[in-house]
Amino acid sequence: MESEIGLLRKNISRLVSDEIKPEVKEWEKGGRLPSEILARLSEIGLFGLTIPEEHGGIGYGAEVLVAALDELARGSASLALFLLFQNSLVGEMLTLAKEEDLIAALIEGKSFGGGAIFPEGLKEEGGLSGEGSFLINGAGDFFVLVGKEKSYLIDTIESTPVATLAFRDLQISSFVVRDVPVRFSTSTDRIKDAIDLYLLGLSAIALGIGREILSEAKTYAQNRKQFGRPIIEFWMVQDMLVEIATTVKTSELLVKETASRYDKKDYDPTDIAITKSFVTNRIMTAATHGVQIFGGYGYTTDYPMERYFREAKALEVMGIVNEELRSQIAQSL
Amino acid sequence: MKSSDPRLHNLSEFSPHHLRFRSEVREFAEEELFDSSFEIDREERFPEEKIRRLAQKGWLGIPFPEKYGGLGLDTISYIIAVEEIGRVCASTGITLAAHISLGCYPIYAHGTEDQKKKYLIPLLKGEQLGSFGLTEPNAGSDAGATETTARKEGDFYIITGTKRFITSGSIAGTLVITATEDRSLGVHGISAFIIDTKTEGFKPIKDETKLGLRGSITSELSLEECRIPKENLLGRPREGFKIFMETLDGGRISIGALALGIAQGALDFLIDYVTKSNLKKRQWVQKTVADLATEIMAARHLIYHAAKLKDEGKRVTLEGAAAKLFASEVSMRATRRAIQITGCEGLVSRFPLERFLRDTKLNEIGEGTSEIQRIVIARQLLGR
Ligand SMILES: Cc1cc2nc3c(=O)[nH]c(=O)nc-3n(C[C@H](O)[C@H](O)[C@H](O)COP(=O)(O)OP(=O)(O)OC[C@H]3O[C@@H](n4cnc5c(N)ncnc54)[C@H](O)[C@@H]3O)c2cc1C
Repeated sequence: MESEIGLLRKNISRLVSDEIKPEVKEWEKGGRLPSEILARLSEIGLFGLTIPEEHGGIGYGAEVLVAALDELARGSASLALFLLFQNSLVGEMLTLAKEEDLIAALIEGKSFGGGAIFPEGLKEEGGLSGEGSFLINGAGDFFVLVGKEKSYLIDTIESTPVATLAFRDLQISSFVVRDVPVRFSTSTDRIKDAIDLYLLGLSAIALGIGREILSEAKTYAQNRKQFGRPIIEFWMVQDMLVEIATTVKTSELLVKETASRYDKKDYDPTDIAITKSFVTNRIMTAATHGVQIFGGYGYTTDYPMERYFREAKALEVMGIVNEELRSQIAQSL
Repeated sequence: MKSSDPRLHNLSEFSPHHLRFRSEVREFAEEELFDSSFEIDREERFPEEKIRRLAQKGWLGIPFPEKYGGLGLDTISYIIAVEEIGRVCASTGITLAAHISLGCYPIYAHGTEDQKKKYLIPLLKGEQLGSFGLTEPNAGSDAGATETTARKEGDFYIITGTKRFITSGSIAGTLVITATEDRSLGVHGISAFIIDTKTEGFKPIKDETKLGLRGSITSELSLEECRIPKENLLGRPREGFKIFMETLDGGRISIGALALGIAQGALDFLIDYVTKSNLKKRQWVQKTVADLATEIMAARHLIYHAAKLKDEGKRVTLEGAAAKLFASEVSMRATRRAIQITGCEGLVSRFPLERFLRDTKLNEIGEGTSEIQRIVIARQLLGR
């Protein structure tokens, strides 16, 4: 497994430096992920990563997925989030629904899902009705709506793109569904593993952002001179870097360990909650330090720190908000 | 716009006069700045028409004597205005703060009568914006490392250099800048000058695209052999460093007030949200609201205490730095935590919270980073 992960990381890393990093600012400006890059992800098999082999996927588990997400997020957290969404909630719903055509189209990168997690007040009376303010990939070809009790696969949704703090190329939208036919539904309890995988994936994306913050902040601090010396020589700058490095290290260990337990089905639900709340919270603090180390330059869009700052904040909220996860953790203690 | 609990705002520093002024500014901000605060952020547009409204009200000259076209009020009143405007639209807030504390104040405090007549009056009347050019590509925290040079030639100074991150720099009518007359003297070679931005050789290079405060202008400026009359030297030759240190002492109170206003705006929004969505019985929500309110009240005390000392004519190096350091960190925590409670809705720009978060990060950077404030405070207490 280690060598497969290593190879995958290498492939993604090359994609990140050659095709993603040079473009990513434009994607956010344009408000969408270009289809060419989605095709590239499909070429290296990423959309079938966690889809079981009997459905035509590769059938890898969390350990591989988090490695892919972490690596990809170094270039574009939006893209990583898109991939995560397909590989967790979308993949799981399609598999349960035995939608073999849609699964094949997803793996080939021809059709993608959009969706929302825990929008309030989904109602099923004949068709499905409800609304929400945070739909991921509003331009999806079909949609997965994860409700508190039941989760649904539907074909259409009325969506309006909204301006957001981060992931502006992910086509986050507000949405309305009015008496829409349900293609497939299941109890949300049954897709709990996929929700856990999604939360774990959010931590992996935060980790990727954190690693990028660390490497760029270090380089910047080594090169930027004030008071006649590189600012890395100042204790208060070192202190911020140490905090970032500590965050990255602990997050790396935690994400890896939780993923491995997830794959062995040897985990406590709190493992996921602890991982998501800890990692995303600490990475947001790291991102704040990252901007700070860059000073006025960090506040401009000339450097990516301001984007990491926005993305890290969004991850602290997305999936299940950290405070709520902490309540869950407390309950099982 | 959400209301604000008056108990959070009552300080013994405030006279009935101050309270009346606060209501006036608040009403203006809520009525005239709220809608545009979203627009200008989205469109990245400088709200010229709003700044003109501030000018009409005389607010571009709040803490200066009427004889120079000011409003004749005190520092506390000015700080109230920055806080209240910041609570609604921080881009407008920083434009006001930079104009008064950085553009006008040094001319008022160090200018000759002639300089005040010629440059201060149009600024205070709001005919032009003032701006302050200290930061350079290689002189940020180390502002004493100014590379811009001033060379005396007969009755003129010839000024050459580049300034970076100058608030309202590309639209200002008058600019106060620092330049060195002799680099070998270090900070003792720096002088301050008043520059009319119509001077030949002065050229805005670009305006930054930023994380926040997107309705305010932050410019890179080029000065190439700008010939300015020797009467435009501000203060005594080679005392520029002292002038800008003192300018920043006061300016920091206004950055603190901006941070405070943003934090208050976040809290007010949160209280309204929590009450409407029945979250108020949840203890994690209560804890957040209680912590935010407590920290905001503490920050407010620090800020108005520093403003009062300034009104008494005292040096506020220590108090201004402490107020700015604390308020800017409180504001970051407040905006960050407020979004947690609204969940994903708070990430959407229809709510002001995500903008507040982006805007307030600047307060930990501008007019001296948090690290520099800590150095200033420590030096005040420990000596150099
Ligand atoms: C929106 C905006 C508006 C601004 N408006 C103005 C304006 O109107 N006029 C003006 O003159 N300037 C203005 N500035 C510039 C601002 O004051 C500087 O950005 C700030 O002083 C920091 O300088 P720098 O960006 O060069 O960062 P640096 O000085 O390069 O700092 C980088 C990092 O190193 C740290 N650091 C530096 N020295 C030390 C030390 N000795 N010990 C410990 N840590 C240290 C800093 O704290 C920071 O974390 C503005 C900036 C912005 C972003």
